[in-house]
Amino acid sequence: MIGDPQGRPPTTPTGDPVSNWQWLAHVVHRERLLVISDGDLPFARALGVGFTEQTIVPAELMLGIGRGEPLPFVTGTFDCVAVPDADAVFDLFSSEGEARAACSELRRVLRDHDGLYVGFERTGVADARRWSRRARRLSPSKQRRMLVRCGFRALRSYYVEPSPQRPYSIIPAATGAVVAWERLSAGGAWQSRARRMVARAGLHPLLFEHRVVIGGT
Amino acid sequence: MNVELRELLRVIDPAFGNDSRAWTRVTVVRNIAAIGTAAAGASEGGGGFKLLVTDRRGVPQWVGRCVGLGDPPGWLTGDHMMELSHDPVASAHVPEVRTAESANLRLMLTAYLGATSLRSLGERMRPEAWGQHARAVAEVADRVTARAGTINPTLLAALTVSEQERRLARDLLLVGEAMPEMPIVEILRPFLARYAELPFRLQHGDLWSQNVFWRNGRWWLIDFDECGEFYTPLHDRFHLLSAAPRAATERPWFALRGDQRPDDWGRARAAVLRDHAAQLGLDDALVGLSLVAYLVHLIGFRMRPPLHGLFTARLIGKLTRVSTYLSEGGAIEKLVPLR
Repeated sequence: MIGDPQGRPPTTPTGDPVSNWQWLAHVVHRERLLVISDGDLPFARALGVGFTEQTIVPAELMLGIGRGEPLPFVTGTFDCVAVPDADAVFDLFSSEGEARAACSELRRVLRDHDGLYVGFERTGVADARRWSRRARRLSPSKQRRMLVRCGFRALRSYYVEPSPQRPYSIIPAATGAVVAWERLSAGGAWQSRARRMVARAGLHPLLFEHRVVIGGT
Repeated sequence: MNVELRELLRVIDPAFGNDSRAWTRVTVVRNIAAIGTAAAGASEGGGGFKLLVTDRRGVPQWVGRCVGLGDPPGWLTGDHMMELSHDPVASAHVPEVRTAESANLRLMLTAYLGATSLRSLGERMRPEAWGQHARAVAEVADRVTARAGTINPTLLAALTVSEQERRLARDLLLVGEAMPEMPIVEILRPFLARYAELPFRLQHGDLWSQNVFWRNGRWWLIDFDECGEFYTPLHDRFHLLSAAPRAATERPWFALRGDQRPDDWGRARAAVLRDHAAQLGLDDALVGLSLVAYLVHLIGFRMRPPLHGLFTARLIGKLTRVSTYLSEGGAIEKLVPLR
């Protein structure tokens, strides 16, 4: 391995690392993947690299699903479901009940013992202009509880740096892991110390913009 | 978590077997390319991701890389380091390496040193102290690299003069491609006439200050991926000197013009080279020739796949300076001032 004196990632095209989430998830079969896309099609396609077949449906379809319409697929059609921008999808629903109905429907079309990828943006404390709107959204713990109630199991949260589209680092949402990562990626001395203090205090969601939930059924 | 990855981690560290929170112990820290599956065959890219593996409390235990078996073979090449880490002599300076392989994945983990690199240490040092440390590191690298040749004699197969001349010709062509704006090959060729006189020897290959750590009273070396690529004497020393502390890197220490004299950093660097050059029987002209050969081979290496010219800009700048110095009548004996 060549060390880069500037510490930058290589810029040569080396495949799309977005699909490496599959090596952290419990994805047994790589045949059919369903992606609920908010319009970022290159990202949606990259998520499913390695799958034999990808079905990409627009997020707007979920609006009807939340109101009781079924997804147009038979039960257990897919080996994996990905909702790369779940915040945008959840924004469509006017109540938690609608969101739950949509999640249940995703569970229905997923085969047993297979994978789930859900991407959330962090509720940005620093982004004050959008705070009030985001505060109405489901909190991470509520999102998680809802997914569990809908039949998803073994859910694990990761922070993704700098973004799900460029997942250079994927950090388990656990204090030990976040502190270890902060130590490894130490920047300026005072910033690094401040970040580690925030991480140790369990406030690590403040440090990251993006969160991804990976799980199974 | 993924059963295949978890099984590989369990092979390397049995504590993964029954840990329901095992997923919190694996952080992906350098996710640069898609992992191909064995079924998909070799992908265009490769590289996979680097892992930081901690214990349950978050204390780092291992760092390493996970790639697909379908990825090009060059993306996981830690075999030299693994051999050295299990060697009773070299293991005093090379951290433990473990590997595991499954149907789709190959995992290679190195024991986390938790140590300070020479780069970090060097930023707080005076030139003379840094030079002493660099000399000690180079001597350790000499011993460990010699051991690599003993463990794996195939690394010594390229030590023939004819093979080295073939590689020089190949790399000169690539340097010509990398520097089309100047007749670099024509300028350098006369100065390379004594190339066959160099006492070629196996080199670590990537001995820069981020691959050298100080822990428990001794130096530790990592990243032997380029061991077997370079055989120019002093290659490792030139590489180590190139990545000197920030205070030193901007100061010229070779190809000095008439009235320029080495400063403290230049003298510290000269001290790193001087004794070893004398041991090898290199006169001043051969030391200058070694610097030219070092730059040519390194640029040639970085121009070839899989790097395709990555990280060559600084090297090209240095070779431009050297070739300008030589084309303006500078003596190769004085290219690298040793005193």
